[in-house]
Amino acid sequence: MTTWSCEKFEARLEDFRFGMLSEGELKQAQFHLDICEHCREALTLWENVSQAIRTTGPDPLPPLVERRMILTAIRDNGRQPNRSRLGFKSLAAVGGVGLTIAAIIGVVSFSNSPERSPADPPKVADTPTPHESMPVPVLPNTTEPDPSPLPLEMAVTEDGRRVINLDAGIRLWLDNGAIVRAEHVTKQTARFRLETGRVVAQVDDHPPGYRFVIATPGGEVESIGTVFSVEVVDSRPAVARVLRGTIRVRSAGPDASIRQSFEVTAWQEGRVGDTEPSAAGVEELKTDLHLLAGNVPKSTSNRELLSALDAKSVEPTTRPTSTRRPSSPNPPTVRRLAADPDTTDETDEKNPSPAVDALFSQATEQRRAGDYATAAQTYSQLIRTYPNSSAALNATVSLGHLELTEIKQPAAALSRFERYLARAPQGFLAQEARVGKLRALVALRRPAEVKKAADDYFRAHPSGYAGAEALRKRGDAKVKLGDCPGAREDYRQLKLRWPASPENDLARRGLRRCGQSPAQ
Amino acid sequence: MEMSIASVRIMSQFSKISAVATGHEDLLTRSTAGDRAAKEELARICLARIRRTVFLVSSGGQDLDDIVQTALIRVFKKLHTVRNPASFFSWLDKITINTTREHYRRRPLEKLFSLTKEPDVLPAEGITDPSQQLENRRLLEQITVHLHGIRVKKRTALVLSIVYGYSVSEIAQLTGCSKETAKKRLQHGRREMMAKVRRDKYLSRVFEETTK
Repeated sequence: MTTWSCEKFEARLEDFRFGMLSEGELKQAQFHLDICEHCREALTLWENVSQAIRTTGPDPLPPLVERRMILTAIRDNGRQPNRSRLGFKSLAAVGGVGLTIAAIIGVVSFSNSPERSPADPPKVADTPTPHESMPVPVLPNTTEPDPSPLPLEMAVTEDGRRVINLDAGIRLWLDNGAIVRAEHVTKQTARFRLETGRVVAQVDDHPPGYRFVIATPGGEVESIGTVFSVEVVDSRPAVARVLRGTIRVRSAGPDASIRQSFEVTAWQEGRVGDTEPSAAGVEELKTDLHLLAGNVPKSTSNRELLSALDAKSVEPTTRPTSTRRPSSPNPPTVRRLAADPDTTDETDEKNPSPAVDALFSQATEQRRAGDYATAAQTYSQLIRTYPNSSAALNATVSLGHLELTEIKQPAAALSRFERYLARAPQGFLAQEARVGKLRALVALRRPAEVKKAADDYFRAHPSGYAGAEALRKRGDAKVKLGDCPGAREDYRQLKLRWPASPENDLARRGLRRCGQSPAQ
Repeated sequence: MEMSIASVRIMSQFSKISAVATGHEDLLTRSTAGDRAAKEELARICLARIRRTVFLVSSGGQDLDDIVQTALIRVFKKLHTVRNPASFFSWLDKITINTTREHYRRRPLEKLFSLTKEPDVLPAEGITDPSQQLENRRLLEQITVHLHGIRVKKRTALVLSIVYGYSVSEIAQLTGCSKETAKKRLQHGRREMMAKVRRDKYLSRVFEETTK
């Protein structure tokens, strides 16, 4: 029998996989496979790769976001063409009423008028009510709790500049006369509304998934890890200028759900209502940089100014003027706009050096071989040597699990998981870190914290893989805290949602402690 | 590992069957008749599929959900135009792919520079050991990074073939090109992906261990 060459087999691989070959061709392909190890290996590898691609997918959406997307899509469809217009009008009316109410209540208002002295703190409402004034679909009541608003801090630098510090390490610098309202500030989202004036936002390295938006009349500006300014003057369209990174400028279109948007990159400006960016004015950029950096000589070029910003911290000596909570005993951490070559390690986040990869692989091998003490040392060495690399972040979680399960040091493991979650609350291994934290707290017998950690897990990963375990552990913690009705509810939910889970057997012990038979 | 023709064919057929999930016809009929509950249920099914497709076809940018939302709105605006409920998912995938393509046509630079962080990938179901989860996540992360490194047209062909089991002629129809072009894209995409995987020491080792 004549056989195919490797080239021919490779070229017809798709036909082979889809069963599109004739009987004769199939026999030849099979014969070639029987005698050619190279093609057999290639086919097996490709099946493995295909299987992995089939398995991969994005993380599930939070229920609230999913519901919002669904409602936006089904709100109106092509069968009733006039509904869209009517829908927009009614939404606009609702939005208008919402805006008026927000203006009356004064959600959180920071005003920075020129006549106000630094000693005269801006007005801050006691009970901020998060709301969204952009025309978004009105959501029905849902069981998903609204994320709690975060406290805001405002500080004034020695040279009189005002800055709002967010917990995520993000700063919003206010120019004289700027009026900004904080509409919705949580751990996941920060949404400010700029009424008038100019602000410079410093959003260099917010956590993944974090959304930072400055709404303006007629649109909004969203950051994608960047430093940018937004200016609103009278009734003219708002202008956004970018000093570093990229932003997206969105304008409200005729249909509230679809908005025109375009991206603006460094040294460009974009106007709300436009469709594309243009080059930013040099003087305007300089004004932004001066607001950001303070007293920098006027003669300095823009690029030199940015370099200067990188070299010296942008964090000035500030004194808090107004807070909704007592000032934190720890001063805000100093962040740099970009990596300082003298202080950062030599690894690049996107392209880890071979040494990092080698260390990580070495530690994994050692762990697999059961040499846990050496593996822990290797992980520690990686974390010490390349503290800012993504491998170090992953190693933190690996080491935590090792300390928890093999070395039996739950306290050390807990600190690892907490460190990871502090650095990357929505990071790649955040779910593993939260599960680890939960287990470490159980091992340390801290039921109150176990309950909190389980709540945190459900908030962050509503359909996570360790849901049954978290629910059972929360129930156990409630039993220890004397909250038997709460525990029973958790165990009931566990049985309803995961009827075949072995966690149900463990839950029976908790029920017995509450003086109830498992059958009840 | 021995790979027989029969098993390859069965796998191909299986992925094809799973792509054309049954049970949606009733939802579709009720949705077009104006049943709100059915619409919501159908939207949930569509949303999951659109997100998966966009995640794999796009370069995993931060505007993933913007594209998904636009595609979902388009689907529901044109829902009443679906003539053959059996080919609903092909129709859905075509809208998803066109929406993604339009998005990148407007902003060509993003094709070259992915703006994201490491991709978020789902852990495999059924793995409860954190160490295994960790390794599984790393494996999927690497695979996704390599997949996103392939040019968008080839990547689209690969995703349609691997994930949803579309044939070459179906891929040609969905992406609006000739059968020959679709075949070339599949071939070149596969070659690039294989080369990337072979160069990746970690993946090579893992797959080698799996094969043993």
